[in-house]
Amino acid sequence: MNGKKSLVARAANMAASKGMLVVNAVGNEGTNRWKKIITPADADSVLSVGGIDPETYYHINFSSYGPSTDWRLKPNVSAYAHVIVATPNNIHETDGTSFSSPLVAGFAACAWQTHPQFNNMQLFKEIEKSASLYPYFDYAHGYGIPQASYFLRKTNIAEKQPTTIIEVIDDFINIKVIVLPPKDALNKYLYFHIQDSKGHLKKYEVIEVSQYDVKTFNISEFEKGDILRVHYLGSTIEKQF
Amino acid sequence: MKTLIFVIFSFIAFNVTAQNVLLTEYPNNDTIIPKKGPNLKKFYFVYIGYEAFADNFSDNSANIRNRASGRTSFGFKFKRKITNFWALGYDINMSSSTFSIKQNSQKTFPSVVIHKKERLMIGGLGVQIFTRFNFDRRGNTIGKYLDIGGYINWNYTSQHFTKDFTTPADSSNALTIKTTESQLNYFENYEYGVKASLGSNHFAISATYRISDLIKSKYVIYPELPKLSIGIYLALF
Repeated sequence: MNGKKSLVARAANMAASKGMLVVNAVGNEGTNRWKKIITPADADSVLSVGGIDPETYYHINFSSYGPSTDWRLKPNVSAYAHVIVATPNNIHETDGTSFSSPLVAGFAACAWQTHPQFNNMQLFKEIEKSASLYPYFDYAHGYGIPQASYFLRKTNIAEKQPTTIIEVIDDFINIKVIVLPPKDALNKYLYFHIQDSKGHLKKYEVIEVSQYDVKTFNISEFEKGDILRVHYLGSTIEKQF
Repeated sequence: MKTLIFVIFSFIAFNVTAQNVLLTEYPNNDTIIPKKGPNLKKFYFVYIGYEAFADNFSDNSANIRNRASGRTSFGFKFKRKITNFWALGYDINMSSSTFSIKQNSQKTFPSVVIHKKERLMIGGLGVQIFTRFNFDRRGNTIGKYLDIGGYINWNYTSQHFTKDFTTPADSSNALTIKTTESQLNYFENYEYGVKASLGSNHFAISATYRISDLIKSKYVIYPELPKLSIGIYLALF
């Protein structure tokens, strides 16, 4: 799963080199023993799409986890993986990251129409930037769900006012947040990760916030060069050690 | 009881006030590329084996009972994969070679004396270096292979066992006389040779040919012991 070996990953990279934007599902291995992304979602020029549960609005359990074996961010973005589909006789609820991928592919086609001057890899990067968690990322959601508003109004949700404080008191590091009223707090999670000096994530979490003090770390958990990055209510803050 | 109530209360209180962690992942723990496995970079396992001596059928001047003679071994084998079809490795083993001597008038080794039973045992510690050629595309399994290598053994012990009865043997008063002679001076302390194994996963058929002599050269009257042995090995993993 380094994106270079499998035939289909090499074919996907070749298609990307011809100017196509290749969008692919990361697979439904999250609850299986394999757990990890499948090929060609490991190819570096493939926009790999993870699955989101439309009820909870975070990673759906079966969606495969990244990163690639050479520690590149995968999935790149996420989309709903539980959908209603039409069959010749009826409509059905069904799930799988195979449904996330065409949602993003359709989104990409629309986004490209708004900015036809982009080449495929510029569009790839812009779709990542448009996503709901950007610049935060993790190996379950990538940069989150791509947002059409980014391409229409060119506003970056990461420019919102900080809603989180990382406080260092003695040997402890506290993450403190603005707590929303319960009716507004639904599906608004706090995401944090700890990134090492090589850029690899050592740990990441999604937390349903219910109090001011969300998380306390002992400073001994961090090494020199580590970055603690927190995303909450559309803003991302970080602390480097 | 008070303690139990306190614990239950604390547990409920903890759940009410704690943050709800929905997802936690430690990528370092589960994205380590495995390096140890039957068809991965490194692999090691222990094995047991038995080889029967398979030569000197026509010229058995050492008077060996081939069916009752053989080498039992137990060892540790390490394999380093170079390509999918080629690997190198070493093997550290303990072995016990037993030579059962026929008791007849042609017997000259190790003496002309006729016993009821007689055998020689050599205990060895050995090292083998081998190169492995695999024949098939496979997943994380050993697969079918041919090992070719050389070995050297240190024969750290040797013993000569005899068993006799006081005559007449069928008498109710007959006694069994067993003798053991250790550190036999006519055996070499080291031996070396070549070895080839043809295997499939846990099982292998092996042939070992000892190049060096086992009997010291100054004991010219003693015949050389069998050099070729063929047997089976079972890998325990």
